[in-house]
Amino acid sequence: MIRRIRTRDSDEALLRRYLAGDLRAFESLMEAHEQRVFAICLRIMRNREDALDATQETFITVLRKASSFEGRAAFSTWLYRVAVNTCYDQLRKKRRRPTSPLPAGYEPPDRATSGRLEAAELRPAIEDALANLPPEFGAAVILADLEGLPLRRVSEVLDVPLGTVKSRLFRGRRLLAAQLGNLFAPHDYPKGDGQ
Amino acid sequence: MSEHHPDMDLIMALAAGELPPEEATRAEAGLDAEARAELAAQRAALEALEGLPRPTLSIGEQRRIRTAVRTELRLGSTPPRVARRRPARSPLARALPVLAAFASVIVVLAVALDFGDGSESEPEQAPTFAAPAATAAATTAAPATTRVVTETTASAAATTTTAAAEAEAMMEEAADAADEVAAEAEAMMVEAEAAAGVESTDRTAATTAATSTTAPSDLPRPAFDVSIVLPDDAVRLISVAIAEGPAMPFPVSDLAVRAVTQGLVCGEIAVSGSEPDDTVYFMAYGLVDGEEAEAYLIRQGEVSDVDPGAATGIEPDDLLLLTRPDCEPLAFSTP
Repeated sequence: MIRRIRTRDSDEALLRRYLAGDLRAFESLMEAHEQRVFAICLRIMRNREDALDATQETFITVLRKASSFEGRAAFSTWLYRVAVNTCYDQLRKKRRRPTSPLPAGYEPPDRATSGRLEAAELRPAIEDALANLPPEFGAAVILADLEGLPLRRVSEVLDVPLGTVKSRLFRGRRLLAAQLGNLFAPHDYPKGDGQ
Repeated sequence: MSEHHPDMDLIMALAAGELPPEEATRAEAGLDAEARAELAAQRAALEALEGLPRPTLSIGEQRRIRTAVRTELRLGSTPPRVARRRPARSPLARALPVLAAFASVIVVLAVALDFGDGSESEPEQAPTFAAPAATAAATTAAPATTRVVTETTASAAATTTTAAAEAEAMMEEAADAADEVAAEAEAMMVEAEAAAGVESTDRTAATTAATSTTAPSDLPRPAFDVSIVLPDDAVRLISVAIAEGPAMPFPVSDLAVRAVTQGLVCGEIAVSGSEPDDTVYFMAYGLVDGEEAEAYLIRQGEVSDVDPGAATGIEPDDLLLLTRPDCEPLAFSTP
């Protein structure tokens, strides 16, 4: 039998211990958040190496500034905000959009002619559509719909009002659906680009 | 279609399934065509997103990131450098070279004394530069022969040279014999340790493992059988250490450094205890040779939760395995 025990202090307590020089607190903080930070980064960067770099940079930035953390928001909120900003900063520096062209001859499956949605088959198209969203919409969709953060948390992470988050999420999903256009039956599909 | 649909909140709530069924049905029936199309788009997007797998970091990537962050932030103090992983030698094996050297000196002295006996019958013999070692030995062993002699004969010189050559040859033979005895003794120690509980398909690993558990140390012997198989690429360094018990808790990093000093190597490790339900517990992180390491606590049978950040959960006979970041992921198995 193999078990892994996960009992740990709160992020804030770990941060205090880390600042006091406790290396185990550092490890615990990393363990608690590195997967989600990486997931966010990979969704945004769409390149594993870039996402690893962004994840690393995120933790370096946050832990370097840990002493200035005031605790007005959750540590994780701050961490995810740094992650999102780091990713978009790096994308801007690279002067490229996190997009990749669809393979030549690729035709998204038509829901009208295929019996049902096949997630694995549609995955590249969905990821492309997600990557093609404007950054502010993409971040909202990634945090809320993929990472499952409550909208209030998303608004704190993105540092925008809750209403703005809802609007970005609404429009982001609409754009996604538009890009995945012929996946939906004509009578279901919203006309226009949704902008 | 408008930028902000007037029913945006309602549509999002319907898409997310947040409304009670009756209320949702009633609300959806009241939507106009544009709103229904918007709802369909929202649902389609959510359905598509649900199919995306969640990205995960591999163990290697986790280590890479943590190591990079630690390095960048200059975290932690560098523990004392431990000796490179030269297998610890048994006390007997360590003493044998000294004994061999001592034996060599005895041989030289014996030869010198023998030579000195002969010189007493030839008092005119003089020391020569042809055999300084033998001469010096003879001088030390038999000062009577060091009297100043004014006459030097060719035969005496020849005798001295011959005796010196014989002495050197005997010294070499003694040294070789001592080395052989030492090697045999060490091999016997390894075999004895292997028979006592350490098995390995790799001689090096077996030697290292066996000597590590018998090296002069205050660490008690494991209650587990440990077998180590070195992979072809010989990633190195797994350390095995035994905690000293709850009465003497100590940091994992300290354990790690001490474990490294024991000199075990990296590879697949099979741990077998006397009970079938041995438990492998993740415990904490430590430093091994200045690098991040994971520590696993293996405890026999069922135990209550262990605080992963403290050493207080360690009991006598627990086995702690530590892996370095450059090791491949380990396979732990229990029978």
